[in-house]
Amino acid sequence: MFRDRTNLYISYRRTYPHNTGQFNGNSQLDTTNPNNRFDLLGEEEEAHGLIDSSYHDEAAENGDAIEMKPLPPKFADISSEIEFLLAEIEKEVTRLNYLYKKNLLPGFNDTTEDDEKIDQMNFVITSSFQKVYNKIKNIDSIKLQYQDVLRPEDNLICDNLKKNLAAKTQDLSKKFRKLQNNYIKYLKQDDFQAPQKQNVMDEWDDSDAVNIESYSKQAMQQSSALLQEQEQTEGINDQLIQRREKEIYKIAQGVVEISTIFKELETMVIDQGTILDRIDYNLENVVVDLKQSNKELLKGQKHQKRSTKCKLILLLTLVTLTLAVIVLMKPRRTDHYYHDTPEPSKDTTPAEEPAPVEVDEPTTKN
Amino acid sequence: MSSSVPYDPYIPAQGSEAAAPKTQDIQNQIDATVGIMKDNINKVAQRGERLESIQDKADSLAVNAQGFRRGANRVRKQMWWKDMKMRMCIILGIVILLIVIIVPIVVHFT
Repeated sequence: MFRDRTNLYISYRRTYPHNTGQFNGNSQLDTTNPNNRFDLLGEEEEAHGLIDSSYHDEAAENGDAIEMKPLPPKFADISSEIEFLLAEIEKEVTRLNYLYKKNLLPGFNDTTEDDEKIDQMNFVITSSFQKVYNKIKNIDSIKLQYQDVLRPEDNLICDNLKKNLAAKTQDLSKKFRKLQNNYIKYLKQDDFQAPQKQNVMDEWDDSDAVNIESYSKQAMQQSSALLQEQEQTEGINDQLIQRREKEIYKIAQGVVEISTIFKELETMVIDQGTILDRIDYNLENVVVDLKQSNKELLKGQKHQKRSTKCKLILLLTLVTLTLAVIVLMKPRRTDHYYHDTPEPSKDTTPAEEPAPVEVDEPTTKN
Repeated sequence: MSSSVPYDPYIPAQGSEAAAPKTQDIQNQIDATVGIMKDNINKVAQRGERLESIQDKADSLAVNAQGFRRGANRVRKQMWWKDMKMRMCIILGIVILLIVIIVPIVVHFT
C-alpha cells in the first residue's frame, strides 16, 4: 500500500541531491537505519496525509522544493550536541554496567562505596537524559521561531531529525532502564537485607520516570520510531496476551459447558414437567371416577336396602294373599255343607292346617 | 516510554501474576459449578425415573379407577333392577290380593 509512495520518495531523494553541508546529521541518520525511516514515512503518511500532498507538490514544482536554503544551522548544532551527549551517556551506561556486574558478584567486601557510585551514576545518566530531552524540545521551539521562513519540507526534515534523535535516546534509555531493572531484580533475588535502599531507588526512578515519561509520551506521538519499540514490548505483551487469551478461552469453554448443562437440565425438566402433567391428569381422572363410582355405589346400597324392605313387604303381601285365598275359599265349602253353627269352628281348623306351613315359609325365606 | 520500557518486563509480569489467580479462581469456580451441575443433572435424571414410575402407577390407577367406576355403575344398575323387580313383585302381589279379595266378593254379591 505504502510501498509505492516510499519508492517514489526514494527515487526523489536519489534524483535530487541535497545540499549536504547543512544536513549531515540528517542524511547520516537516513543512511544508518533506512528501515526505520521507511516506517516513519509510512506512519507519517498514515497520520497526517499532508506528506502525500507535499510530495506531489514536490513533483509538481520539481526542484524548487528541495533547496531548503533558509533552514537554520541550529538544527545541526543541536543534533551534534545531542549526539555528543548520547555518546557520553552510552559510556556512562557501560561503566554502570561494569559496576553492576562487579557489585553483583558475591563477596564479603563492603559494597557501600560502589552503591554510592552507582547511585551517582544513575543520577548523572538520568540528568543527561533530561538534558537530551530538553534539547530535543528546543528543536520545537526553533521550529516555532522560524515558522514563517520554514517550508513544509523543512518542517518535515525537522520532524525527522527530532524523531531520529528521540529514537536514539529512547534506545539508550531503554538500555539503561533494562540494566537498572535487571540489577534491581538481581538484588531482590539475592539480597533481602537491604530492601529499603532498593525502595528508595525505585521511588527515585519513579519520580524521575514521571518527567521522562511525560515527555516521552509526546515523543511517542511524534516519532513513529517508537512503533518498533512498541512492537518489541508488544512481543512481551503478546505472550501475556496470548496466555491471557488462552485462559479466557478456557473460561469461556467452561461457561459454554455450563450453559449446555443448563440447557440439558432445561429440556430434562420440561420433559419431566410433561410427565408430571400426565400424572396430574390421570390422578384427576381417578378422583372424578372414584367420586362418581362412590355415588353410584351409594345409590346401589340404597336400592339394596330398599330391596330388603320390598322383600319384607312382598312376604307380607303373600301371607295376606294366601290368608285371603283361604278365607275366600272356606265360605264356599261351608255354604254347601253347613249353614250357621259349625262355620267358625271349621274356619279355624282348616286355617290352622296351612298356617304352620305358611309360618314355615317366612322363616325359610328370611 | 523510556520509563515504561524497563517496567515492561515487570508490570505485566506482576499483572499476569495478579491476574493468574483471578482467572484461576474463575476457572475453579467454573469447575465447581460444572461439578454441581453434573450432580444436579444426575439428580434430575433420577427424579425423571421416579416420575416415570409414578406416571406408570398413576396410569394404571386411572385405568383401575375407570374400571371401578364401571363396576360401581353396573352394581348400581343391578341393584336398581333388583329393586324394580321387587317392586313389580309387590305390586303384582297386591294386585293379585285385591283381585282375590274383590272378585269373590263381586261374585258373591252378584
